[in-house]
Amino acid sequence: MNNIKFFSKKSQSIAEIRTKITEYIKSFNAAISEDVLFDIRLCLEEALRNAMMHGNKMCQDLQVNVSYNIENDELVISIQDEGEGFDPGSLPDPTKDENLYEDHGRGVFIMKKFMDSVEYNEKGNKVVMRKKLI
Amino acid sequence: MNVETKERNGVCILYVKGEMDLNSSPEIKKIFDKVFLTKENKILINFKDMQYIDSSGLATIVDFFKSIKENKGQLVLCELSEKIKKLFVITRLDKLFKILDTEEQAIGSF
Repeated sequence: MNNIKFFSKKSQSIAEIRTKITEYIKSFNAAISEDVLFDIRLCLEEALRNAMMHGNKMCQDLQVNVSYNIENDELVISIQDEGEGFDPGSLPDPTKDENLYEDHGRGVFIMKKFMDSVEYNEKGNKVVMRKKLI
Repeated sequence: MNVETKERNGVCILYVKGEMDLNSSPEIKKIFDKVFLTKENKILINFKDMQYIDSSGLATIVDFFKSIKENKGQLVLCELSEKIKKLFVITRLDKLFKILDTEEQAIGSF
Protein backbone atom coordinates (compact mmCIF):
# COMPACT_ATOMS: atom_id res chain seq x y z
CA MET A 1 0.00 0.00 0.00
CA ASN A 2 1.35 3.41 -1.01
CA ASN A 3 0.63 6.27 1.31
CA ILE A 4 0.75 10.08 1.06
CA LYS A 5 -0.25 12.60 3.73
CA PHE A 6 -0.58 16.30 3.07
CA PHE A 7 -1.98 19.42 4.66
CA SER A 8 -5.19 20.80 3.22
CA LYS A 9 -3.74 24.21 2.50
CA LYS A 10 -1.47 22.85 -0.23
CA SER A 11 -3.64 22.89 -3.33
CA GLN A 12 -0.70 21.88 -5.53
CA SER A 13 -0.81 18.53 -3.73
CA ILE A 14 -3.70 17.47 -5.96
CA ALA A 15 -1.54 17.61 -9.10
CA GLU A 16 1.36 15.90 -7.32
CA ILE A 17 -0.82 13.05 -6.10
CA ARG A 18 -2.46 12.65 -9.50
CA THR A 19 1.00 12.39 -11.13
CA LYS A 20 2.17 9.78 -8.60
CA ILE A 21 -0.93 7.63 -8.97
CA THR A 22 -0.89 7.91 -12.79
CA GLU A 23 2.76 6.80 -12.86
CA TYR A 24 1.92 3.93 -10.52
CA ILE A 25 -0.95 2.81 -12.77
CA LYS A 26 1.23 3.01 -15.88
CA SER A 27 3.94 0.93 -14.18
CA PHE A 28 1.29 -1.75 -13.76
CA ASN A 29 -0.30 -1.37 -17.19
CA ALA A 30 1.64 0.79 -19.66
CA ALA A 31 -1.11 0.38 -22.23
CA ILE A 32 -3.85 1.73 -19.98
CA SER A 33 -6.37 3.71 -22.01
CA GLU A 34 -6.59 7.48 -21.80
CA ASP A 35 -10.32 7.10 -21.14
CA VAL A 36 -9.69 5.10 -17.96
CA LEU A 37 -7.01 7.57 -16.84
CA PHE A 38 -9.46 10.43 -17.46
CA ASP A 39 -12.10 8.73 -15.29
CA ILE A 40 -9.62 8.06 -12.49
CA ARG A 41 -8.24 11.60 -12.58
CA LEU A 42 -11.73 13.05 -12.47
CA CYS A 43 -12.76 11.01 -9.43
CA LEU A 44 -9.45 11.32 -7.61
CA GLU A 45 -9.49 15.11 -7.89
CA GLU A 46 -13.16 15.36 -6.90
CA ALA A 47 -12.49 13.24 -3.81
CA LEU A 48 -9.32 15.14 -2.85
CA ARG A 49 -11.07 18.49 -3.20
CA ASN A 50 -14.01 17.27 -1.13
CA ALA A 51 -11.60 16.14 1.60
CA MET A 52 -9.70 19.44 1.61
CA MET A 53 -12.58 21.87 1.20
CA HIS A 54 -15.66 20.20 2.69
CA GLY A 55 -13.96 17.74 5.07
CA ASN A 56 -11.05 19.73 6.46
CA LYS A 57 -12.60 23.09 5.46
CA MET A 58 -9.15 24.16 4.20
CA CYS A 59 -7.85 24.24 7.79
CA GLN A 60 -4.08 24.29 7.40
CA ASP A 61 -3.49 22.09 10.47
CA LEU A 62 -5.66 19.24 9.22
CA GLN A 63 -4.27 16.53 6.99
CA VAL A 64 -5.59 14.38 4.18
CA ASN A 65 -4.37 10.79 4.08
CA VAL A 66 -4.27 9.13 0.66
CA SER A 67 -3.55 5.42 0.17
CA TYR A 68 -3.51 3.62 -3.15
CA ASN A 69 -2.78 0.15 -4.35
CA ILE A 70 -3.54 -2.27 -7.15
CA GLU A 71 -5.20 -5.48 -5.97
CA ASN A 72 -6.31 -8.17 -8.44
CA ASP A 73 -6.06 -5.79 -11.43
CA GLU A 74 -8.11 -3.24 -9.56
CA LEU A 75 -6.98 0.22 -8.46
CA VAL A 76 -8.03 0.98 -4.88
CA ILE A 77 -7.75 4.57 -3.65
CA SER A 78 -8.59 5.52 -0.09
CA ILE A 79 -8.87 9.19 0.94
CA GLN A 80 -9.47 10.22 4.54
CA ASP A 81 -9.80 13.70 5.98
CA GLU A 82 -9.84 14.89 9.59
CA GLY A 83 -13.20 16.63 9.37
CA GLU A 84 -16.53 15.83 10.97
CA GLY A 85 -17.70 13.66 8.08
CA PHE A 86 -21.02 13.75 6.26
CA ASP A 87 -23.85 11.50 5.17
CA PRO A 88 -23.36 10.78 1.45
CA GLY A 89 -26.91 9.41 1.36
CA SER A 90 -28.25 12.87 2.16
CA LEU A 91 -26.93 14.45 -1.03
CA PRO A 92 -29.58 15.49 -3.54
CA ASP A 93 -29.55 13.86 -6.98
CA PRO A 94 -27.91 16.48 -9.24
CA THR A 95 -29.53 14.95 -12.35
CA LYS A 96 -33.09 15.72 -11.26
CA ASP A 97 -34.67 18.45 -13.36
CA GLU A 98 -34.94 20.82 -10.40
CA ASN A 99 -31.21 20.45 -9.61
CA LEU A 100 -29.73 20.82 -13.11
CA TYR A 101 -29.21 24.55 -12.62
CA GLU A 102 -27.30 24.08 -9.36
CA ASP A 103 -23.66 25.19 -9.43
CA HIS A 104 -22.55 22.53 -6.92
CA GLY A 105 -23.34 19.00 -5.79
CA ARG A 106 -22.05 16.94 -8.74
CA GLY A 107 -18.71 15.73 -7.31
CA VAL A 108 -19.81 12.61 -5.38
CA PHE A 109 -22.31 11.73 -8.10
CA ILE A 110 -19.52 11.84 -10.72
CA MET A 111 -17.29 9.66 -8.52
CA LYS A 112 -20.04 7.04 -8.22
CA LYS A 113 -20.68 7.02 -11.96
CA PHE A 114 -17.06 6.91 -13.16
CA MET A 115 -15.56 4.46 -10.65
CA ASP A 116 -16.62 0.82 -10.28
CA SER A 117 -17.37 1.31 -6.60
CA VAL A 118 -17.34 4.17 -4.07
CA GLU A 119 -17.82 3.47 -0.37
CA TYR A 120 -17.75 5.80 2.63
CA ASN A 121 -17.03 4.87 6.22
CA GLU A 122 -19.78 5.36 8.79
CA LYS A 123 -18.50 8.77 9.86
CA GLY A 124 -18.31 9.93 6.26
CA ASN A 125 -14.74 11.23 6.38
CA LYS A 126 -13.14 8.38 4.44
CA VAL A 127 -13.91 7.22 0.93
CA VAL A 128 -12.63 4.09 -0.81
CA MET A 129 -12.89 4.05 -4.62
CA ARG A 130 -12.19 1.10 -6.90
CA LYS A 131 -11.65 0.83 -10.64
CA LYS A 132 -10.72 -2.20 -12.75
CA LEU A 133 -7.59 -1.57 -14.80
CA ILE A 134 -7.89 -4.54 -17.17
CA MET B 1 -5.58 27.41 -19.95
CA ASN B 2 -6.53 30.30 -22.20
CA VAL B 3 -9.68 31.56 -23.88
CA GLU B 4 -9.78 33.06 -27.36
CA THR B 5 -12.81 34.89 -28.65
CA LYS B 6 -13.99 35.33 -32.22
CA GLU B 7 -17.13 36.77 -33.81
CA ARG B 8 -18.81 34.89 -36.68
CA ASN B 9 -22.24 35.61 -38.16
CA GLY B 10 -23.23 37.57 -35.07
CA VAL B 11 -22.18 34.75 -32.75
CA CYS B 12 -19.53 35.28 -30.08
CA ILE B 13 -17.37 32.14 -30.09
CA LEU B 14 -15.25 31.29 -27.07
CA TYR B 15 -12.44 28.77 -27.56
CA VAL B 16 -11.56 27.46 -24.10
CA LYS B 17 -8.19 25.75 -24.37
CA GLY B 18 -6.56 23.37 -21.92
CA GLU B 19 -8.18 22.39 -18.65
CA MET B 20 -11.23 23.70 -16.87
CA ASP B 21 -10.82 22.66 -13.25
CA LEU B 22 -10.79 24.21 -9.79
CA ASN B 23 -7.54 26.04 -10.52
CA SER B 24 -8.51 27.52 -13.87
CA SER B 25 -12.28 27.95 -13.43
CA PRO B 26 -12.08 31.27 -11.47
CA GLU B 27 -10.01 32.82 -14.30
CA ILE B 28 -12.37 31.46 -16.96
CA LYS B 29 -15.33 32.81 -14.96
CA LYS B 30 -13.79 36.31 -15.11
CA ILE B 31 -13.55 36.03 -18.90
CA PHE B 32 -17.15 34.76 -19.12
CA ASP B 33 -18.27 37.69 -16.95
CA LYS B 34 -16.55 40.16 -19.30
CA VAL B 35 -18.28 38.58 -22.31
CA PHE B 36 -21.61 38.75 -20.48
CA LEU B 37 -21.10 42.46 -19.74
CA THR B 38 -20.68 43.19 -23.45
CA LYS B 39 -24.36 42.14 -23.79
CA GLU B 40 -23.55 39.46 -26.34
CA ASN B 41 -26.64 37.28 -26.57
CA LYS B 42 -25.54 34.53 -28.97
CA ILE B 43 -22.65 32.73 -27.37
CA LEU B 44 -20.94 29.54 -28.46
CA ILE B 45 -18.29 27.70 -26.46
CA ASN B 46 -16.08 25.58 -28.71
CA PHE B 47 -14.52 22.71 -26.75
CA LYS B 48 -12.20 21.43 -29.49
CA ASP B 49 -9.03 22.31 -27.53
CA MET B 50 -10.38 21.51 -24.06
CA GLN B 51 -8.66 18.44 -22.66
CA TYR B 52 -10.25 18.20 -19.24
CA ILE B 53 -13.19 19.50 -17.26
CA ASP B 54 -14.31 18.68 -13.74
CA SER B 55 -17.37 19.53 -11.64
CA SER B 56 -16.10 23.05 -10.92
CA GLY B 57 -15.74 23.62 -14.68
CA LEU B 58 -19.27 22.31 -15.24
CA ALA B 59 -20.50 24.64 -12.50
CA THR B 60 -18.80 27.62 -14.16
CA ILE B 61 -20.58 26.86 -17.44
CA VAL B 62 -23.93 26.37 -15.67
CA ASP B 63 -23.51 29.77 -13.96
CA PHE B 64 -22.63 31.41 -17.28
CA PHE B 65 -25.68 29.81 -18.86
CA LYS B 66 -27.95 31.12 -16.09
CA SER B 67 -26.65 34.69 -16.58
CA ILE B 68 -27.08 34.51 -20.36
CA LYS B 69 -30.57 33.07 -20.01
CA GLU B 70 -31.61 35.86 -17.64
CA ASN B 71 -30.47 38.25 -20.36
CA LYS B 72 -32.67 36.44 -22.90
CA GLY B 73 -29.55 35.16 -24.66
CA GLN B 74 -28.54 31.71 -25.88
CA LEU B 75 -25.52 29.55 -25.07
CA VAL B 76 -24.55 26.63 -27.33
CA LEU B 77 -21.66 24.17 -26.93
CA CYS B 78 -19.80 22.36 -29.72
CA GLU B 79 -16.92 20.02 -30.58
CA LEU B 80 -16.86 18.21 -27.23
CA SER B 81 -14.49 15.23 -27.04
CA GLU B 82 -16.14 11.88 -26.37
CA LYS B 83 -14.83 11.88 -22.77
CA ILE B 84 -16.19 15.35 -22.02
CA LYS B 85 -19.47 14.65 -23.77
CA LYS B 86 -19.89 11.54 -21.62
CA LEU B 87 -19.57 13.76 -18.54
CA PHE B 88 -22.33 16.07 -19.81
CA VAL B 89 -24.57 13.09 -20.61
CA ILE B 90 -24.05 11.35 -17.25
CA THR B 91 -24.74 14.56 -15.30
CA ARG B 92 -27.73 15.21 -17.65
CA LEU B 93 -26.34 18.64 -18.48
CA ASP B 94 -26.88 17.63 -22.10
CA LYS B 95 -30.57 18.33 -21.32
CA LEU B 96 -29.73 21.86 -20.21
CA PHE B 97 -27.44 22.84 -23.07
CA LYS B 98 -27.72 22.62 -26.82
CA ILE B 99 -24.64 20.53 -27.75
CA LEU B 100 -23.66 20.16 -31.41
CA ASP B 101 -20.88 18.31 -33.17
CA THR B 102 -19.45 21.08 -35.35
CA GLU B 103 -19.00 24.82 -35.16
CA GLU B 104 -20.97 25.22 -38.40
CA GLN B 105 -23.95 23.33 -36.98
CA ALA B 106 -23.74 25.34 -33.78
CA ILE B 107 -23.66 28.71 -35.53
CA GLY B 108 -26.58 27.64 -37.70
CA SER B 109 -28.60 26.66 -34.63
CA PHE B 110 -29.04 30.18 -33.19
